[in-house]
Amino acid sequence: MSTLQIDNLSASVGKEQILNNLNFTLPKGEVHAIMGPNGSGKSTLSKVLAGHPDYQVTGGNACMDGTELLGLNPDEIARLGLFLAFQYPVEVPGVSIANFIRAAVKSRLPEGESIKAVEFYKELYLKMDDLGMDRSFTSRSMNEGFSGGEKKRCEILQMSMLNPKYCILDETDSGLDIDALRVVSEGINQMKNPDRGILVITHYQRLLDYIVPDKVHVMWEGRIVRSGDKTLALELEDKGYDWIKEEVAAA
Amino acid sequence: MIKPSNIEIDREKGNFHYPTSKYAFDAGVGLSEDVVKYISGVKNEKDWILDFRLKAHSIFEKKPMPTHWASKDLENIDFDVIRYYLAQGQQPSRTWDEVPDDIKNTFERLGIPEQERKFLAGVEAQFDSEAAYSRMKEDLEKEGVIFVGSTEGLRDYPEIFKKWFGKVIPSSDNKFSALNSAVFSGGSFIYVPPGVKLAQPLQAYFRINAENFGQFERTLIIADEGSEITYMEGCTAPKFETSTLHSAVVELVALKGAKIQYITVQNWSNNVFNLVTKRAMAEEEAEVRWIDCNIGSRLTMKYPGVILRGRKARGEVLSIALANDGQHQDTGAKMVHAASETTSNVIAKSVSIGEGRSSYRGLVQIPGHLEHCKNNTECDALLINSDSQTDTYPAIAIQGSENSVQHEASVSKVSAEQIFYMQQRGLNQAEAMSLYVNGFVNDLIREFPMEYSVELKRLIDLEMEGSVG
Amino acid sequence: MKTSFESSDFFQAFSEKRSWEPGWMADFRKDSWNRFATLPKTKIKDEKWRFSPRTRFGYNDCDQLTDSPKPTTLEGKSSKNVIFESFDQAILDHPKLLSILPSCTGPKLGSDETFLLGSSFSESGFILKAKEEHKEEEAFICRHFAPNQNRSLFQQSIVSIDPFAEVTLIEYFDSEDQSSTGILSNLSHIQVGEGAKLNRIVVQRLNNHSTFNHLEKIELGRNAQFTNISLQLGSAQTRVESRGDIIGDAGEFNNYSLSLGRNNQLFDQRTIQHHIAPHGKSNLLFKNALLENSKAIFSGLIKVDPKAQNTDSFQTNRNLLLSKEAEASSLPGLEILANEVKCSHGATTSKIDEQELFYLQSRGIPKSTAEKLIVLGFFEDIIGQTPNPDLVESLRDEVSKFFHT
Repeated sequence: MSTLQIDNLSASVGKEQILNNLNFTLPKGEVHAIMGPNGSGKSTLSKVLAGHPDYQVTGGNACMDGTELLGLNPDEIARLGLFLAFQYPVEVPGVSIANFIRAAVKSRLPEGESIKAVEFYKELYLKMDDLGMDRSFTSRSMNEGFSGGEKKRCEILQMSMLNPKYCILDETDSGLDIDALRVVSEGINQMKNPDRGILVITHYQRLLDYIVPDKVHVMWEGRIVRSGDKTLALELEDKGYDWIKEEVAAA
Repeated sequence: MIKPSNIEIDREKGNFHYPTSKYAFDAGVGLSEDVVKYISGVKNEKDWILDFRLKAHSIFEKKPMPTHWASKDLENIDFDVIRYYLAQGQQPSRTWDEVPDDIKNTFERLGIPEQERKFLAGVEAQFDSEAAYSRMKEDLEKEGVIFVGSTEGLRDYPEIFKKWFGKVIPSSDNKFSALNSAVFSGGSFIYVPPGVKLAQPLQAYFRINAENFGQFERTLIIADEGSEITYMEGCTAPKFETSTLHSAVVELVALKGAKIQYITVQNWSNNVFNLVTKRAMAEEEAEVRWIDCNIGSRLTMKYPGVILRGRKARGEVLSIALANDGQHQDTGAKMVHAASETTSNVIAKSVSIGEGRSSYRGLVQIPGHLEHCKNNTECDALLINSDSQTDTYPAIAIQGSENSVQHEASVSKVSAEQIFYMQQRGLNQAEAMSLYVNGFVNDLIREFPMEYSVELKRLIDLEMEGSVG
Repeated sequence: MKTSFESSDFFQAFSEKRSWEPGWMADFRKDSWNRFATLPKTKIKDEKWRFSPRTRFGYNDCDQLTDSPKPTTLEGKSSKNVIFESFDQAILDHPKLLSILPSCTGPKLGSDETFLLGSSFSESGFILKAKEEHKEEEAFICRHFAPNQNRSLFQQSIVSIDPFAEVTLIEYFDSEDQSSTGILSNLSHIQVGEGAKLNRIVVQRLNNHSTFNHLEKIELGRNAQFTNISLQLGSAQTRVESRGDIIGDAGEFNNYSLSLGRNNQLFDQRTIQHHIAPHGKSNLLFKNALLENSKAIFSGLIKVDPKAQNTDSFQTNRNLLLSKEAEASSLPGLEILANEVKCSHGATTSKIDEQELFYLQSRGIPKSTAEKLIVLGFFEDIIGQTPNPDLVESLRDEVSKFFHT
């Protein structure tokens, strides 16, 4: 039960079929990585799980701790405990980071209960310190005018404030220089916990130098075509993706 | 889908009806010279005031509706069914049970205390045409500040108020300023002596309590040299079956080096025609700032203005408008530069929800004999639903090679990706939309005093409910 | 004051002069004239004339038609794929092409009088029709002439580009002589079909006693593209009314204009970008550089209908004031009834940049030359829109010539 389990998931956007009978299980307490060339369907998987309205599910199931996610609204899925760190975090003009996270935390509280402001800020500041974020950051508008690194840090900050059961990090390493990559990875590593599953989606293996996965999966043409331990990532780094494509074509 | 309907008369629903017969003074329905004389008589006014009213009345009769540029909805105002004067009779016999549920819910959600709710719902204290003033008045008197109603102001302090009364906004300015000048009553007359800087804002609540009763308050604020004042008005109106007219005139005079800040938060029910003329005169180095938030009403037409008459005077209008189903917020600003080195700034943000429509109309004038005048105008419109509507009609007339103006306007909508992002953090669609709208107007809301900005945010949340789905 | 255009005898005499025309044309003129004669009297407050000294556009001083109108001259030949003929010739050769006239409405931005007079008394103009998929490399050139001796000339033109055809058109408007007064009133009806492209360049160089009325309506079909580049240099007063209707999906309308105002010149510009169909794009940029006592009025509207979702529409008016007396009025408007839109407008009025001026002067350039250079720079992003590089150079020259004459 304590898994994010995906069975035979197929999904399309418009007329294009992107996920084809995808199977995948992420148990709590583990870190998995999905790798794959561009266009293999990695980002689509994260969007479908998060309930993005542009994608149509054409078959299969996705259960989080026994609860079916498919068909739920994005906010319901989020409140059940699935967090998606976006590849391209969206700007929300005029809404400060502090207010945004407050609203998100509040949406998880039972009706009538309100946030204890002092505790909230204490926790927020603590986590910002860990991520090397200046406190003045809280008053800036969500992602507006942020650098690539700032955006990704802000995603990790939200993730850690919202205490999700499962985290999906979609190409979190893209657009990060090596220092930012280290800080962000550290933030993710701190989220590791026996009650939480983490899925890292990435094109490159360099992120996996910092976040060591328990399992690595390779995605191609909308499904997982190979799974292995962390050495698989190194192999991919070394040989590229073509041999996998050839193997799939041969089979 | 709520569409504005024509004014219906004698629609005796009864459940929310004021027994107007209990008012001690009632000018009856419709407008005539006799009504004007009656009002003046009740107030025991001097002849010059009666003359002023009668002249204004004849201007009102002659002036056409400004429908060559403004909404045709104005034609639906039936001046013959409006009560032009009602005052301080006995308490109306309305009970809390008679207050409609949606109003009660609004109070509930706004977290307004029990006592306050009854007040706002018009169950208890009544201040129709005559405004009531707080104990604050005594403290102010020590400083030489005059804070009285229009009747008292003209009666007790003519040497102060007569000079400026009707000078910033002449009766003939427009049809509704003429109407107000003929039948005005209530409002605030304020004088701040030289150098006096008021630490606390002065406040007044203007409210409409009787059906088909137009409210025509008149406000005149004179800030003498080097003085400073902030004035706040909040406007709420209980909901009635038929339409109501609110037509105020507000004149501000900021003498040399004075500063006036005038803050309005308006939340009319959506059958009110809210047609208000607001204008300020700013002398040398004076500053006038209008902060204006318009929520509710059927049609609001309001373009606060500043005449920058003295060198280095500064004018500013910050405005927020929310137009929901069946509402038209037609707002804007006028900046008339009449001296060199004057500057003006206008920031207007509007949100159109459902079938709501918001319009911006602006005027900026800088004649060629002036130098180093500057204006900056920004208007941003946000559209929430596919039926929402927005218009922008600025007019900018500039002469001379030493002046500069800049005007930018944009229209945008919330993108699906933004909503998805917020939903992924756990907010439902309505919450996400509300948060977005709050963000859109955030930089302006910050300009409001604390308690107003909190109320404003709540009002926005209320307006956003049910806007998605 | 009544003009002779209102007299039925006058119209009768004109009809006799044009008695060679077929009956349908005579009927159209008669009908237009009747509508003109019954036009309601000018309203005192007319939003479409806001800020305009309207009397300067009256016909009172030029209420006779010119006896011998100098006809529009055409450079560029008709071929089996293109019809390019004078208005009079087309009445005889291509009555079918002209049969759209009764359904033409014009821009409807205030000059009803000029529009109806033009429909009644047109004696000049041209027809350009490009057949489907025809691509013409060479530009078609028309030269129009304003009358002299206190006369008026009305003319109308039809430009019709069939689907997937591509055409460039250049229109010059000049005066017959440099010294006497006249009024030239021009109506253009332009239709660009599906996937077709039309580039049009207008160069107006009337003498500084004359009046120019320029009314145009453009209709864009699906995926059609129309780019208008207008150089308003001459005349005592010019009224431009330009309406672009995007009636097919994803039509694209670009409207660029520059005006160089000197002495008492007046440029009164009224525009509308009307998005009727979805996915359309429109971009308008009107720049006015105003010297001496000149005056410009820009009134523009972006209108987006409820069905025109996914519209991108921009409107910009920039005024550069170079003297104390110069005056610019700007009325940029938006009426947005669809919500999936990207629309914005901007209007700025400013003086010449002192730093820039000083920099040029410090290099020994006299002030007047420096001003000229800065103004030419100010216009560069409009002239730069011209598709053909040779043309860019000649348009720069046109502006340059007008600077200190």
